[in-house]
Amino acid sequence: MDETPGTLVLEGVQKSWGDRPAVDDFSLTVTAGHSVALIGPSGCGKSTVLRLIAGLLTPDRGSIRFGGLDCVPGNYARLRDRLGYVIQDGGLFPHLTAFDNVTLKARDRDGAGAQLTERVRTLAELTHVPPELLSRYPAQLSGGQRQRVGLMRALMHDPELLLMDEPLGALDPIVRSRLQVELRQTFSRLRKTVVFVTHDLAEAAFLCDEIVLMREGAVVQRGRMSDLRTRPADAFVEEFVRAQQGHGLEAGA
Amino acid sequence: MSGLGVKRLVSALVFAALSANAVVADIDAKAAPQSRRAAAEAGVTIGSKAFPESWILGEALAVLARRSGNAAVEHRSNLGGTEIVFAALESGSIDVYPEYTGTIAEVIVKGAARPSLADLRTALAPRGIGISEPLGFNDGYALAASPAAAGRLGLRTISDLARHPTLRLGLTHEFIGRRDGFEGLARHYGLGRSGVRGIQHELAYRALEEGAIDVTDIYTTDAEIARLGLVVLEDDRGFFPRYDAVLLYRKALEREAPGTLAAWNTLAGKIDEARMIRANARVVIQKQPFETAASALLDDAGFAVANAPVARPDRAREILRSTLEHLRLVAISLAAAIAIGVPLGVLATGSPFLAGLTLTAAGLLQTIPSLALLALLIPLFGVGMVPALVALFLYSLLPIVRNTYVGLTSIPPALEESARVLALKPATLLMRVRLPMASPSIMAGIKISAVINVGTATLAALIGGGGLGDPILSGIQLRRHDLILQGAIPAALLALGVQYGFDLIDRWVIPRGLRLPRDRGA
Repeated sequence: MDETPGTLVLEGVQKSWGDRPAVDDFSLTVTAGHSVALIGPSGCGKSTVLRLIAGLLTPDRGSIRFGGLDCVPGNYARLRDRLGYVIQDGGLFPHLTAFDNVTLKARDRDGAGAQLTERVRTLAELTHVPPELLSRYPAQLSGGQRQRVGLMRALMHDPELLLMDEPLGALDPIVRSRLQVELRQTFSRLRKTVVFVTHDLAEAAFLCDEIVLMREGAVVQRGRMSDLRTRPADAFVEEFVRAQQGHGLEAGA
Repeated sequence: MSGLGVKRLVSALVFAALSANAVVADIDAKAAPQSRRAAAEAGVTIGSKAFPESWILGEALAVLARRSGNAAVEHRSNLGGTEIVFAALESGSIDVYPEYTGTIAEVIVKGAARPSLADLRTALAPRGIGISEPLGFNDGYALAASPAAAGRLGLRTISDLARHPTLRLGLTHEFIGRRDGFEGLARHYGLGRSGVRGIQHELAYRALEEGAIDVTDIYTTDAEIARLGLVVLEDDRGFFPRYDAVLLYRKALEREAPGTLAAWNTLAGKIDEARMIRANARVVIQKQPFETAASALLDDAGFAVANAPVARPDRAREILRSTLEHLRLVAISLAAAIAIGVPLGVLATGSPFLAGLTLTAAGLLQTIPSLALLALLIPLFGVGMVPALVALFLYSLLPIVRNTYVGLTSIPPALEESARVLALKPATLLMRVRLPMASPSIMAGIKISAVINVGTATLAALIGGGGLGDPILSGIQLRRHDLILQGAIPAALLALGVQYGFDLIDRWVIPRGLRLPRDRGA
């Protein structure tokens, strides 16, 4: 198995809530620098997989490794120094300015410095955040701005792995579409390993190298958009793809 | 930064306490300019309970002690209840106080039904407490009926009460609770309990006057008996024991201050009921100062007392003094409650077990009646400001602990998780993220504690802790509205000020980002 730095491996991962398995014998390998979209209907376990990788949940069975490092409680701190996590609406702390949100972890580690300001400037440029917004509080930012700042915070310590849980879910269509374009540029520029959770097939196809379609905690089909469309693994895949294409609109691929 | 807001608040309160302390000390120094000479006799502290007769006797003891040449005499008046004063005596916080044989037998010794004075002396000697010879009067319990009720129903004896079960009895709490009080009386005479309710002694007279109650328990030397024309019901079946006034003193005084003790002992047999009633009337009815009544009592009893002119207290200075004392009580106890309560609230979030333990313990503290808590604290801390501070601290804990816990546990899970994934150092996570986010709730808890504290601190006067409770207690005893208001108005203003002050402090402690309306722009 490829265990080079930046490669994420999940093997036979199981997580149940009571009797109901949320994630059921789930295996997935994402090689370094590749991006994968987890997609599926609500409750299919896609967010749970992401939270397992981030160490916010511990699996009942199976193993998760990133870059050869076992994702077990003793390793969470080291693991988290190597990953960035972005949730819907950015997950920003309301009592801190955008700048303080972005630099919280860095200041915790190294204190403030000229490097810090420089790094923030670079990231602001990358994520299209006007510098004057950085002194504002989250409540003073729009949804799209909060999302960009959330991404800045996740990228601040230059992680190898980026975990994104429906980051664009709360945005209106125009802002969402603009952010999709920006995110695609960012992904291709940074070449990080990305696991991206979404319920929007077009977004998944536009942003990620591969799509993993999930149902009831397990992988139904993994492949490119064209694979899902032309060679659906079963009737569920076919129906999911058709439903997402909408009425008379073609999803980009 | 925001996480340090609570810390800043604590230091501000400590500063306020220290400033109040300095000003109070200054006022004390100006109010008591006489120099203290080194004395052969040890200094003595006299205690007295929160009713006029005790206060007058305490003041008389102070006069006698000074006259005997003791240069360091202090009188702590207004101590609340037998348990509190006796605990103060046993712990050495006071050296002497006037007490009654019946009370010693029932409340302190709790032995045989009708012990002799010798029995009481034997019982208290091992505890280092001596009993003087009786002063000469019996201040026993009796029941008295309002003239209206007595006239209407022809009440003359306690036996007559049993025939009128609809009578409304307003009895003091101590009387209701004691074996030789209402419980025993009701059994002895076959009285019903239906019309009985608890009432404070001084308020009972007003209730009698206004016809809100028909019968109350009185003391046989109360000045009010004559003034209100109360009918003292004859104890026709001999229930009430005698309450001969005596002095309880620390036996160590026999070595440390023999001259002072000897001076006190000259009071034995000199004060009869008539003299005591006259002295009580001077205070309660003629509104004379305690010092004047005490001098008059001694004069009446044949002691040559130089009738020193009583300095009129400067009211503005008294108000300032008790307000600052009050503020000091509140500031110190609140600062301690924040310094301990916030960490306890944080600790409670550690596990459901810790949460249950901490919140239950803080909740239980809240349920202890304040007088009971004060009595429990005296053996540990004596009387004065310290036990009052401890009690106020304990009462202030719960809202702070609980609101800290609630504030921390109601941080949205998504933000908790975002914080966890950032893998911050635990101290950073707590100080820069969790506590600031919980700060609105924590501040609300502190505000509740502060306002409750300002009110509760008036009870500090019951154990010699000073504050605005002093004029209130004295005013209730003397039925002087001006004195009650002298304590109550500043206390009310202080509560409002604290409320308003904390609204301002909110802006300083709660991070700005949490006070902004959520804006949803493009």
